[in-house]
Amino acid sequence: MDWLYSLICALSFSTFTVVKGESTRAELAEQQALLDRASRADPAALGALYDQYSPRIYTYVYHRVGHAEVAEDLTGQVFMRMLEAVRSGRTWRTSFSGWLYRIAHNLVIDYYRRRGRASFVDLDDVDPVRSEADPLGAIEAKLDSERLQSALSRLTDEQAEVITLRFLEGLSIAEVATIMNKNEGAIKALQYRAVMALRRVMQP
Amino acid sequence: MNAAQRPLGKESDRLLAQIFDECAERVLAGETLESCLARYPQHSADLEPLLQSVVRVRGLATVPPRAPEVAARSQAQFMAAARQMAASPGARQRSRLASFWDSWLASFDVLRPIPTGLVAAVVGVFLAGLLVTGVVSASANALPGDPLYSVKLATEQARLWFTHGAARDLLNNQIQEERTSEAIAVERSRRVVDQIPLDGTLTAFDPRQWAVAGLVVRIDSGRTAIVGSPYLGALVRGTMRAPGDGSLVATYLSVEPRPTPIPTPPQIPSRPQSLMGPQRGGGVSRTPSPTGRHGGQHFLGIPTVYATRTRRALSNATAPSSTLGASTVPAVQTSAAGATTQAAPMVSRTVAPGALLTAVAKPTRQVVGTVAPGSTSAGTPEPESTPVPSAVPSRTTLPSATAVRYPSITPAAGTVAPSRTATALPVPTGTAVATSTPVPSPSPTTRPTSPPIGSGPVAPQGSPTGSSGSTVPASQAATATSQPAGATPTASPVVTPVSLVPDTGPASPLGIGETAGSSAEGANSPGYISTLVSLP
Repeated sequence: MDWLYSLICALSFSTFTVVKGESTRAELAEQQALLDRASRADPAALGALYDQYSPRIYTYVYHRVGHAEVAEDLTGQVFMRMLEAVRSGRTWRTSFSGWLYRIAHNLVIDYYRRRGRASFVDLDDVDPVRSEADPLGAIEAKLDSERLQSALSRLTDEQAEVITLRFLEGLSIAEVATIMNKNEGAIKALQYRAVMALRRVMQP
Repeated sequence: MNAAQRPLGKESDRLLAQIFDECAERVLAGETLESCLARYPQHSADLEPLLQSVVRVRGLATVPPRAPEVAARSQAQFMAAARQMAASPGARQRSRLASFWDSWLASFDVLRPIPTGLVAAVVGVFLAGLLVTGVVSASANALPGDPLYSVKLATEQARLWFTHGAARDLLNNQIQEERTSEAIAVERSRRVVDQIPLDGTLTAFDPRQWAVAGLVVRIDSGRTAIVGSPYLGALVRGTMRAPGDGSLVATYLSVEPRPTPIPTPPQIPSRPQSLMGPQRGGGVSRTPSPTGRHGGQHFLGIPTVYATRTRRALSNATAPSSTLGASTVPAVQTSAAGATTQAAPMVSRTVAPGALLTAVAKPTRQVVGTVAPGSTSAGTPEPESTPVPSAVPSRTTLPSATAVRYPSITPAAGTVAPSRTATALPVPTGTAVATSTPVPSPSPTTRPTSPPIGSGPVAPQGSPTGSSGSTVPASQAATATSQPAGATPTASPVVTPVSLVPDTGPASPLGIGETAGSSAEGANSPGYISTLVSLP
């Protein structure tokens, strides 16, 4: 009976894998169709992409700038640039998400160039909605964000970038490599050095 | 540079980076830190603090939720902009084009693993090759004066560079034919071209035009520079121009000297010592001949064209310095280095004592100079020059024979090495006649350097004695006993047993390129530039 049990398990796993693979392929095809429509300036497709990626872009920008309003403003600029790129025909080549993160990365760099590297989180700048619901949690979140921003600010730009994309945004090595225009081996080495540096700056 | 910034040069660091990435991936996926470290117990000490930092960062990554109204406003703005863009027909067209472009680029996905720099380099090399090929192809029909003509010439040289053996000769012939075709095309099209290369064999010539490589090239008597003496079959190189009247005018012609056989010194009869005495008008002299070997007339009846040497060359020829009087070695070498002109190789000759100077050319040379009375031009140690009360201010030499090269003349066996003492004699008819008397002297060689014509007395430069510098030097007297055409030689016609071994080649039919004293003195360098002068 054991062999029968093993056979059933194997068949079940195979079936699951095939179904999941088909599902993944279908999702990829659907995503590709969406991107094709968006590249042809289809408003519905562009809206769908906005809904899909704006939270992720906002989170990334927030981790880099540590300010909600600034993050919101920069997120809006990212998607406006996307529209401009679609209008001029200079859209993404391979990875749409990597291309979008690249726009956000450039905007963050421009933001820091405009106002300087020093950025401090104002504890009084608390999200009013959240402050009404959980003022203590909001303050803790701000403090955590302040610590994180302080630690990241003591790293190099590339180290802060790779930690943000890899561990805060959860992107894969391949995606980070695409965004940062490096190969995967270089990203792994950079990530290793970045975490070592982060550990040193976060030591009490 | 801290440890975090140092390059991962060691293999262990690379391995740790790889293992750390794998463990971090597992931790981000939800696996516990302990289980990850258990997979790599040998690296757990290094990995644990790093993975803890990752977990800590993840804990700090709290993002406040976006305000709904702000997010909605941002979305509304975006959608309005998207609809506005979609309403623009130009945007749709550009988007279609962009879509096509993207799909076309996607077909090259197979190239993606190749480094971008390598792809760019390959594409760059390909485009450069395409450009070069196009330019070379376009220059194939270029004519002299065209912008791409230099490319055509460079391409031919490149082809020659890579061709060897018989194929190279064939290619050379093809190139020469191409030059001829180009010149004919330029001639027929009546284009004005300043410089056209000329290279070929001289097949016919007369004073007004030469036939080279099948082209009839006009000789401009006032502007055409000719180096060398023409002869049938000579290889001629140079340049010509197309004035636009359907003709070709030579601007520079260089005639390759005919191959000269190794001269054999003639058997010089021993002469009595009495002839070498310091007698006036005796010693070394030459019998001047008013005409050359061909008498100033081409053997085909074409009037001879004489080449009058340029001022510099002439002056070099008329006032060579010599140490003939100080010679104790069997040979006295004179050099025409002073007559160096453009593209003129130095030609030196060795005048053997006892060489006969009268057998070669009959130059008609004009020498402007003054010989001071009483001055001598004698060799050392004992100059035996005869003081000359008055010198002839000018001397004219009209050569009518081929420029002769004397590569080397060796003294005849048994010849006593003499030195010669020159004596400048006043000649009423404007002829300076010098004689030299062989006197044993230890001067090995001399190199004549001459002042320009008309610059005053003809000074024997380089003379060991340097006595007065106002007499015709002995070497000149020995080598350039010449008279103007029709002049009566007043010097003693005693022929001393000093001979030069002349060129045995045929004389120039026209005498083109002939220079004054070209045969009998040390200025018979083939490398002078001549200006053609037609004799009446």
